[in-house]
Amino acid sequence: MWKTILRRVLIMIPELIVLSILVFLLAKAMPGDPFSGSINPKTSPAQLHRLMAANGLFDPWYVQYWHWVVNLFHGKLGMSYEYQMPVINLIKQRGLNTLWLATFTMILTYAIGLPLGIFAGKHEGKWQDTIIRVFNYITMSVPFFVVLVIGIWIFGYALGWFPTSGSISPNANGMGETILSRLGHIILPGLLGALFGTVNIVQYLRSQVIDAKHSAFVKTAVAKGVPEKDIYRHHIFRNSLLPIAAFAGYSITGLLAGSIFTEMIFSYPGMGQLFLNAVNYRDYTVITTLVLLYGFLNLMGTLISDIVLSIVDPRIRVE
Amino acid sequence: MTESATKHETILTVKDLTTSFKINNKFYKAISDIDMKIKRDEILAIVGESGCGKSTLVNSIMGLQDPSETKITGEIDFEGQDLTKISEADYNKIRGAKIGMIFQDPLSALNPLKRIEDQIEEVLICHTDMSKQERRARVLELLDQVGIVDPKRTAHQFPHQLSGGMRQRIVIAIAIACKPDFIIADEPTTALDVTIQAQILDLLKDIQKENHSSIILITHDLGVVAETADYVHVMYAGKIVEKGNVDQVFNNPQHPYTRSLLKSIPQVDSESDELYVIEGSVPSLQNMPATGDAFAPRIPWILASDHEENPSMHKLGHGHEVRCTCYQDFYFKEESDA
Amino acid sequence: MSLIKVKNLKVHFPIRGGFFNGVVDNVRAVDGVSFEIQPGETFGLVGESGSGKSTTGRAIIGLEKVTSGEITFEGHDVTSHKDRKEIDYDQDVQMIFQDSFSSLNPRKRIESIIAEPLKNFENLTPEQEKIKVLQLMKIVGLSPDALYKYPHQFSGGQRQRIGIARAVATNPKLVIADEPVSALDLSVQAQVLNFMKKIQRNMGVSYLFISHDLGVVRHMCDRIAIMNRGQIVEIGSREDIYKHPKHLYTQRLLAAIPSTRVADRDKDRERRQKIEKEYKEKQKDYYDKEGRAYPLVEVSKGHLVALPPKEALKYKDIKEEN
Repeated sequence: MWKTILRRVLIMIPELIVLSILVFLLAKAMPGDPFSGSINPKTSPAQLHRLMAANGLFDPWYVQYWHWVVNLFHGKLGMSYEYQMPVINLIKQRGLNTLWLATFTMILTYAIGLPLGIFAGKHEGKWQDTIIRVFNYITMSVPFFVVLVIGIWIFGYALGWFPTSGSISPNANGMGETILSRLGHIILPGLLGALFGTVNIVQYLRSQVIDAKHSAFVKTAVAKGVPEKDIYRHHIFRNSLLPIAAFAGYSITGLLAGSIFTEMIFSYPGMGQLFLNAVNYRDYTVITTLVLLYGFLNLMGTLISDIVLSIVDPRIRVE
Repeated sequence: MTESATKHETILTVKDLTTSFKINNKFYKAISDIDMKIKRDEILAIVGESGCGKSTLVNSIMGLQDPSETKITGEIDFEGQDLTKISEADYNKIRGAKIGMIFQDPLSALNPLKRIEDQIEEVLICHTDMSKQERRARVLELLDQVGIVDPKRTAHQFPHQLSGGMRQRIVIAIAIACKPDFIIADEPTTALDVTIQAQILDLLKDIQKENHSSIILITHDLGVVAETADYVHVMYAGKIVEKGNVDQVFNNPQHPYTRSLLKSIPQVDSESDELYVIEGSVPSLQNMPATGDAFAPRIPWILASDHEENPSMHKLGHGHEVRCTCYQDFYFKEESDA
Repeated sequence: MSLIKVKNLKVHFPIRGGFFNGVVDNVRAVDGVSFEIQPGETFGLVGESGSGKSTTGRAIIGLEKVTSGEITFEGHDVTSHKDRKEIDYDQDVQMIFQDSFSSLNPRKRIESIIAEPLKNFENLTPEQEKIKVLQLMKIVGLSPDALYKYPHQFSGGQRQRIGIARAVATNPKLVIADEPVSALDLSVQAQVLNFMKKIQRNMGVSYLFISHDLGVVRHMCDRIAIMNRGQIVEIGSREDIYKHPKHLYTQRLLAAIPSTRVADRDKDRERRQKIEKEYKEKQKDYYDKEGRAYPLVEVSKGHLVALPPKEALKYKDIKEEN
């Protein structure tokens, strides 16, 4: 099994190289140069030319790419044009906020989605199932941002239960208060994001449970005299939850995509918001770094899913 | 108890059993008028083509149908209990412990994510108070009993790592784990190659002899019946149309359906190019006639007056029984042409 | 001249593995199979699951890539796709599948399903086409009102007959029937087999009849090849195979068929177990170290058996004397 995992990790290397080359070329293709914006207006074109040459801007692309990669590993990602600070610091700060929100959303998604999916599957065709499915169809048919806007309007403005912007209250002092304030800021966006995220899980898990329920091996278990609750515990749940567990990795992608909407609407200073702003202000260094990061996280997500799947499913496990 | 007393002991009695399925909020009879008995130490084959209700019959005995979609009336008497009336908890004490079941497709009958030993052990956990060690030892013993060459190795494997024949041996090991008196085998060899089929049938027969148990064997294969069974019930359109011992049914078949079926088998010595074809087709659940002989439309050259309004079983002696009076006047169409 | 000649056909599937997922070995699904089918004859290919019988059929019609070997149809080499296009091979060779339901397009009416090969290969006016479709339906015993129905409205036996009607629509010379009746009930099976025989009588088509059911094969086939582990271990007339089986595997296969002769069942069982025991003991004699069968030797006219070298010698001597 270690061999499988190692092979899977090795496969990621060329993927990463291709991704980084694409991002690098994207960065090169963007208009402007790193100096025009920050130099003295009196600098002569000849001086500028010399400055660019000194920084290797006229080297062949692969040399430049190599320097870029080396810098990447040293955390030298360049300066943000808009925020006037190193991109690495900016992303550290924003990334942490997004990590908070994304983790919280993910926990909530599974905490709501798993029981609902199992419950719906178990009561297939009965009223409990119908209610869950109606809820699902409604959520599926309403665009995500509409849910967010309605949510923020009701619980943020009308009821005033939750803050409607920011990631932490500026008045929070001390460890306890800081954590509480952070939580307070992510409850509403997290809950709404989770509500949306559950749809797929509920739908998928429901059909998994129904499939398992009607499978021949469950019939065998009944014929063995296994009580119903044990059949659910040992056969149906286990068999339907494993693929879900394995797909957790893939859901990283969905979370990142979702965070762009959520952070924008909640003015939550995370990576998603940073990305949108960077696009708005043509903050190229930030854009390229984020594209690279998103790409990397995506690959990681798939990697995690593949590894988990190979661990939990004996049919895939290579012995 | 003496040998002869055990020999005639009735294990299961089914009386006037009807099972109906709900389709679009209406109940349709899948099987009806089922009366049967199975005695200790015998193999009873239930034979018929797809849709005749043979699987419904054993699923009804085993209580495997979804109660919200099914209606069962009549009696299934097993060791003094009526299985149609007992609670699910009581049923669970019987299933696996006193009645073992073997299924058609051994791959899907096993949980793909569980090791073989866990799947066999589960039935021991449910019905015995053996310790973990005892259970593990019993698993190895069972694997050996069903002819697995390397029980230790196989115990740790997953279903997909075994061949079809080996998987079916595992399913059999599960069925006999608690030494039940009674085993239901639903098309146990249909998914297997013919050489493996022979081995599995031999194994079933050996187990049945060793444990002095009884087997209900569901199959569509007349050859399997002729080679394995002691008694035969032939089913058509949800009803038993002929009962008898294997010699009576194969060498002196009475019901037109039994006779037609046997005639349509490609014969060894027959030089004829044409196989015998039964006209028409099996009625679907929704189109099952409420009265009259369900087989009558497939032998239209037999007069309506030869059939009964409500076909009943007629005793022919020595346990041979046939449904409907039409057997008395039945002839094959080409016999009249000749 | 034989209609089709298969010479040393091999179909190997690569097994990937190892660290770089390279080809580490091959599954020798079909491993050197040779036979000929004469015009108007039914040739049976029999074996258990994994014997390579279906792969052989699929390779002949072009559904499987041929690793090596040669297929000649009426004297033309048709091994590669390019060769097949030069003659009317795709029209002359048709196939019937076991699972007729999944091979019929569920969204098409029977009329267009049967007419499809006609459209591909023959230029007919809509009227001519319809007449031809009705004729074909009559041949397989379907009533004209079935014309506008969809596949799901038919029973298994009827669908199989639709599959046959489609297969013979272009007047093919060879029909490859892969387990055509395995999914059918006994009474329905009889009907489908009767139609296949009737079509052969009327149209002179040859069948490559692939099946695991030795009873059905005996009824249908003139000559039969027994396949095991991708190779033919015995080939001969129906009489040769059923009355004088020479290869241990053939004997084992025949002994395993359950018979309806109730009176002989104890005797049959004894014989079967005896052969099974013999098979376990002597199996190694019949296959070489790599598990391959030995070359076929002719034991009587047209009856070829993959006998162990020692036994094969006897027959070679006789042949040379003659």
